[in-house]
Amino acid sequence: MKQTFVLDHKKQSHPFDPLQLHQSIVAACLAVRSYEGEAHQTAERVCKKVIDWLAPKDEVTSTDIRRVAAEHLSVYHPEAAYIYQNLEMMV
Amino acid sequence: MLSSSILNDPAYLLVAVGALFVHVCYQLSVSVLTHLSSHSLSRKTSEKRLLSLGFSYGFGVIVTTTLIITSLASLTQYVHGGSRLLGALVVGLAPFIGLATVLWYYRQGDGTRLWLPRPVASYLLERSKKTHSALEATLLGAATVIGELPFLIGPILFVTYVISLLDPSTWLGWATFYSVIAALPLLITTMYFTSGHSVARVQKWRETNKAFLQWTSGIALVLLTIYLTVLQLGVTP
Repeated sequence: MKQTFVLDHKKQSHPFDPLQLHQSIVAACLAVRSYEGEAHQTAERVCKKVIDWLAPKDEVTSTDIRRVAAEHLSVYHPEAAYIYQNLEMMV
Repeated sequence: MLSSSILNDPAYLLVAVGALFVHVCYQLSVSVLTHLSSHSLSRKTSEKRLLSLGFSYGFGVIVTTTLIITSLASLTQYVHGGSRLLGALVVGLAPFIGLATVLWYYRQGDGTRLWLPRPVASYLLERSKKTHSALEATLLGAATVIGELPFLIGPILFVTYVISLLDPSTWLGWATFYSVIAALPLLITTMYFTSGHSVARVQKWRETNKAFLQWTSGIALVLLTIYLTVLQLGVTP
């Protein structure tokens, strides 16, 4: 399977980690009071969509991943998607 | 005597209420509380624990604000006769802080990012992520007040000026009373989160109304300065 690399905000490249994405989506869902099972199910669905989107690509930025994940998350849980995108823009 | 008449004078009460309004409009403490609550909920923290963290955070904010007000009042009293120096500081600084609030308080773009030095903002974000105990939350509250001091000093100067006109034995009481009222939004927000509401709703409301809060607080600070200048001219023999 082809590996996609992610360029983070420090301009460092590392392999895409679906577990990290899954955890951050679960965290966003729990922050808006989703049930744990629902949060994991939603995160699984979103991760699958993001992996499909990444498949033909060699390298993407972490901002791209966040944007695409938020787009898909907003279908299942708009409030979680809002928190997922805005958490680091609060202060 | 001036100090005894202040309590019955609605003109000075209006200055204190105006300062309180501007203070409440400044949003860094609510931002950090929202961030703290959101991370705590992600960690599956219980409602009781979240309430304890939120109230400890508010306690840190109240204590630090009270200490700043009483220290400033004592310092100016010690250095140069108290209220006169404070009056000069208010008139000299507050309009610029008001203008800075209108121009720079919030950063351009989405979210509610404030115009703070980025290391300060990053420190507060990192600390709020890692806050687990009540003591850490109290210290985070203190750090938040200090981080926002370049803007908060505006309303704080006004209220310190009014308090410095009173009897020094009552300063601590009045400063605590003011700080508790100024921290009420934090306590209400904590109770809102712990009663099962989503942090996203509060954050969305804040983002939608950020321009209103920015403009009203900035303009109110300038208007308060004009009002206080007129008031001082009326009092000075």
